[in-house]
Amino acid sequence: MMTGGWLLIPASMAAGFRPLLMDIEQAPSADWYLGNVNAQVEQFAVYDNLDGAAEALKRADVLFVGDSLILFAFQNQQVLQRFFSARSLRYYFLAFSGEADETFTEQIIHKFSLHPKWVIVDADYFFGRPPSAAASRAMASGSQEAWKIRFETATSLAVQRQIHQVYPYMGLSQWDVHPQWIWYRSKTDGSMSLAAWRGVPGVIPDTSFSNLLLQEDRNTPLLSGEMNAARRFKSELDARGARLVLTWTPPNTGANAAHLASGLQVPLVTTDARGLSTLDGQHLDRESSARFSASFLEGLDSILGQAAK
Amino acid sequence: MNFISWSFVVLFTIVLAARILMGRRKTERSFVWFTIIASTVFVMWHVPVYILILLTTVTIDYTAARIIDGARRDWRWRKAVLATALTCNLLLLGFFKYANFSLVTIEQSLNWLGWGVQLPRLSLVLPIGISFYTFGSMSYTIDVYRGRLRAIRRFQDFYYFVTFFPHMVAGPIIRARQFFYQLNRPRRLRLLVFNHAAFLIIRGLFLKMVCADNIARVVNIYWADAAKPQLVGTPLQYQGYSGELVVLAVLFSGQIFCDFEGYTSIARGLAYLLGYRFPINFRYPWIAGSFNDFWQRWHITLSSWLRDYLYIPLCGDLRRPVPRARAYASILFVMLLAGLWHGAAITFVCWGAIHGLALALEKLLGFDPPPRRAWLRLGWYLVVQTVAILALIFFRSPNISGALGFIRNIADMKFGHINRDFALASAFLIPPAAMHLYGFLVERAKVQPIGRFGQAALAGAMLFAVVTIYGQSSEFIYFQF
Repeated sequence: MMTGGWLLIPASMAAGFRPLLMDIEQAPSADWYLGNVNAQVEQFAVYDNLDGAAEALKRADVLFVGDSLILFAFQNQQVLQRFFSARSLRYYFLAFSGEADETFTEQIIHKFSLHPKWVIVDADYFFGRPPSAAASRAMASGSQEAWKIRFETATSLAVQRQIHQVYPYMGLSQWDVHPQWIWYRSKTDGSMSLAAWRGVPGVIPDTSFSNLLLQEDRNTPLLSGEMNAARRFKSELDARGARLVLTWTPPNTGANAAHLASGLQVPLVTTDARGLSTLDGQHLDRESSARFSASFLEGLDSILGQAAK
Repeated sequence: MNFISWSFVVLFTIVLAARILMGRRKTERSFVWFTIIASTVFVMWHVPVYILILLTTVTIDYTAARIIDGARRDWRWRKAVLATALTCNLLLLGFFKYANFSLVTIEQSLNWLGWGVQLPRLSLVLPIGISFYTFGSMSYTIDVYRGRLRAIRRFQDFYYFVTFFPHMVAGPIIRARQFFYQLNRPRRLRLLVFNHAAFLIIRGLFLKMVCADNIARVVNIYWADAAKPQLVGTPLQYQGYSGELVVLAVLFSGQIFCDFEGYTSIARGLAYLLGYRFPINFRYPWIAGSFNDFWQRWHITLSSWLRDYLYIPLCGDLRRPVPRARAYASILFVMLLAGLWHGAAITFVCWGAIHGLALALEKLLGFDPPPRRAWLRLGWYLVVQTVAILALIFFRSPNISGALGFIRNIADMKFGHINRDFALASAFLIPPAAMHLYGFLVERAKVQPIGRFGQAALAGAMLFAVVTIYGQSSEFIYFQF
């Protein structure tokens, strides 16, 4: 009879299948929420302030804005906390997986009436870009949609985790060559903590970060509308009393950021960390992130110092 | 709400618990009300305010049918009410589905005439299932008008029919007379019923989550570049790209079949658990030997709807001879509308036009029923399946130039080895192909339909595949219609 078919399940379990992929780490603490699965969740969580995900954002003095590159570039929470608390500043990462853009950022700034003192933008691929699919959906839908997406994603992940403790995952997506990420985000400062990832590690050529290249690339043409979008964004920040600082994160070359910084007359934080390695050819690993952020904070310190004078 | 979502698992678990606890016969009013509420939650899960659109449709057709039924001899009045109801339904459907398409078409036409205008666009979210429930609701009013059905007395029963969640989003398109007679028929949830329903649901999940979703991964990646001239700048440019595009088109054919048949199978299983029988929507379309046969096997509830409510009124009684020109024109018109029903895009119209022309040509050649000579029958079978796949290239492509570019690349006749992604994805065509082969043999009485033990073993294997080989996407293709 048909009910006998269910016997196949324990039979396959007895055959000794083992988990293949779904080795997801638990959230570090209750302060962290599930931020990224398939390049979404965090956009909704922040935009709709699910479970207070955006409370710290409202109080932040320094906003880090960009995409996943900036999240990976500043993985060391302690270093940042030490740096900013020494200057009595609160920071927050307003950065998201997928494409980053100024429209979504501006919407969030408007929605929560943010008045940060500094806004640090990872500017190489930021201005004049269309919002990511998740960001567009977050802006177009209400908190009900945010709740649904969070519920679906979190439940799927929990169930997959349990199932793949017993059964391996054998679908085609395990053959994907592009990296996959699952991460948590901190409610305190918006920083990222990896839960699981897959990718082919790589190294970033040193030339990517040399000032020489930066100089050469100053002539790189910007996308049409990129400078105008950046100007609009800057005037929005000016009206709120916030100061714009541009930077770039590896493996980008900083060409656009430099071009925009000179056009907007805003400070540019340059970094000179070499020998950086990545988890997937794009995103810095933990050790490289520590060196990169140390170099960045050095540069930022001088800008903050000049502003204080 | 998507069948493949945890929200739906929660909702259906609650409804099933209600069925076991208070709906043993499924006709208990408390259970019916419970299911009505669950269906309303299901509808409102998408965009809550859109329940008002659905309520409008339901109210229009309920009221119109009551008036028509009450004015049995006043044909003029009946006709006027029917026309008003149909117009309101079509206006609602047209506004949400075709407003922007119309604006774009008008704008392009005016620009072509040199007027240089730019018309605004409306920011609309398509109400979920609007094409399906509008057709279901309209068929009720038409049937009452034709005297094939008496108007139902209770509003909640009609609302129940339209919103009943297993069929509401993407069919099968249920007609009122297929549903109403089941309303008061008790049906207990026995083990046999449970097993059959579970088999249908698992089969649907397997087709969708394992076959369709794994194929979708490859189709989505490669279709985006498929129209580029000679595929320059894409991963396929140095290989036998024509052959790969042929495989890609076949893969999409498999994807859409598994996706839609998967949905229908789940819907039928869910409805069966709740005590309702839904008609089948697919009957092995890949073995269709003629275009007419194809449409009696593919999306059957839509094609029969179009036949009964569009083609027959255009052509008159099918038992009488119809002038050829009128028949061909009617076929073409109906198939164009079938294309437009799918979506507001010229690509869907082309898809419908291809099928319309093919059906007309088949009628002209006298190939329906298929020719007797084996080689001619096989040849026509290949033509039918090739044209069906070719039409799907238009269905899937974002625009006409995309579809034409795709076909042009195939016409380059560059054949070589097939890359790994295509080979892997093709493996997921084996289950639906095997299903079709088995169906072919069953139809010719060469083998027996699968028995209970076979179903049990198959269900176990499919369930195992669902939890271990599922793909990543979860949206059904027909949700967008």
